[in-house]
Amino acid sequence: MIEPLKTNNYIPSSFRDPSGFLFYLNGTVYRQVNNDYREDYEHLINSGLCEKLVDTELLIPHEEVKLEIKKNGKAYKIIKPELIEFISYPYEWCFSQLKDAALTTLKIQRKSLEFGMSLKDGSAYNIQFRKGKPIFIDTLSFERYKEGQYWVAYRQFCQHFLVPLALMSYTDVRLNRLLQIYLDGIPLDIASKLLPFRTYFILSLLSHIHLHAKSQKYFADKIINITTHKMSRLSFIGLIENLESTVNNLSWNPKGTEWANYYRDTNYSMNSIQHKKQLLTKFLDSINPTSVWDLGANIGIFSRIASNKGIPTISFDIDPAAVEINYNECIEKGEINILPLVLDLTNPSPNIGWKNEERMSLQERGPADTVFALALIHHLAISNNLPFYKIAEFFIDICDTLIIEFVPKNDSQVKLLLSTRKDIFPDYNQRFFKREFERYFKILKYAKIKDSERTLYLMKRKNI
Amino acid sequence: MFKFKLSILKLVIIALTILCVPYRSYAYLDPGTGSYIFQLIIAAIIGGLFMIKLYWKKIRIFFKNIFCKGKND
Repeated sequence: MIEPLKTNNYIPSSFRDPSGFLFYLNGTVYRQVNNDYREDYEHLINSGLCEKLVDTELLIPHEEVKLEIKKNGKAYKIIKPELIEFISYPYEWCFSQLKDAALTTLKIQRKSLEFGMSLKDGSAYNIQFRKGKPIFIDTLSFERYKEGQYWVAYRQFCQHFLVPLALMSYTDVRLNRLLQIYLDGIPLDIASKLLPFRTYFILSLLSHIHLHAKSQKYFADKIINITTHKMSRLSFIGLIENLESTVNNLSWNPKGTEWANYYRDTNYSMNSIQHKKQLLTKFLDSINPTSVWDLGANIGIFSRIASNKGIPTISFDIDPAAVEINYNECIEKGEINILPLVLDLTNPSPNIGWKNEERMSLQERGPADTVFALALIHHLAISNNLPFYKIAEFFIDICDTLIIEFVPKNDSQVKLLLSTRKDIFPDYNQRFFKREFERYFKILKYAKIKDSERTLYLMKRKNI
Repeated sequence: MFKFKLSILKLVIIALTILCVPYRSYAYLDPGTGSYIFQLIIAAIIGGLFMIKLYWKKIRIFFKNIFCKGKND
């Protein structure tokens, strides 16, 4: 018997689009194309735009499939897009990731115009990172271009890309976290207030952000007939080119933040780093994981031990400078198995959006096969007052195997942490750490790291 | 109904008005209208500049001819 598609199969991030929606079936992601979108979809395929964008790795490839399900009355086609291994969000990207995503969106818009189409969304959530590069994932975001039409995605593009990039570049690089609060991009009026006064003298930012914000407020209570006004094709192309040069002119240089100089400034000897790498390689070879999350990865030195073995690796760090350096290295070397992301582990990305379902929390995007927690435990236990059992409880939620480094109180880094606070951590010792973690994990291997006080453990999650 | 014809001069006047006139905030209204009007203004200006860029060579030749002619006279 052919089963009807149940609404609980729908993926909650795509309900807004009348052109179709995403759904899961037997562990695979599909996209329903609705009848309303039929003509646009056919133009996308028949004009050759889809093929061109897929060939240039700008659009996610898909295939049309016939599924044994009872389609609802709106269904025109079912397509199966290539699966993205790990969904990331713009509030987790570093400056260059957001900039590359913005330029990818504009490149697609320019190419679309050549094929008689235009993007109807300028959302940063339509971009994901695949094999180290940004790629557009929403096949239903294209509409046929009508002579004289304006760019419907202009406001969204400004709010999702231009504003956060300008704020990161001119005010503070951490301000892209505002995207986590404002799901449809950072409001222009807030950006206009936060940007320094000197940005009024930069013509592109004066127009696309400051004047644009004032225009929004001025016309907020006025009704206009949008069919009477036309925008020439030349103006349309000019606008896209102007946005492109505006984005290209924004820059941010990572320097002097907390962790970006970590390996250079700490007293890690070359010998101990080398030994830690060897131990990590040995542990990895014994478990052959299918995916790795490196938590507190800094610039990704240890993440690369996994990614260079072909293991898809997410390299998380709280410091946007470290993530920026990490991402730039990925681009420079053309690395395809590593994705650096900004993450505050003590306050990881939550479920947000309508019914708190549109964007997934970190935990929901897991579990990873293996988690690295290298030189991390002292930051969680001492800087954030987290008891060992709380840390272990978090790790069993997000991984099957854990490679964790214990850093004792006599380590210079822990001494530094304790130098400015009262030592209220009598239980912070290796024996208690081992006892608490063994409630949740089985210790498979462990070894002391040469020339240091630290120990590296390989643990496997117990079935509790 | 708020109607106007789009000439670059009028668009510039509107842009200046937006900057000078104090406004109230309408938190529940869609900011889409202002974005739409602003896009028409900025795109018209950019389009105009784009046109000048495209015809820049011709304009340069035109002025060069006048200048050279003046010199020859």
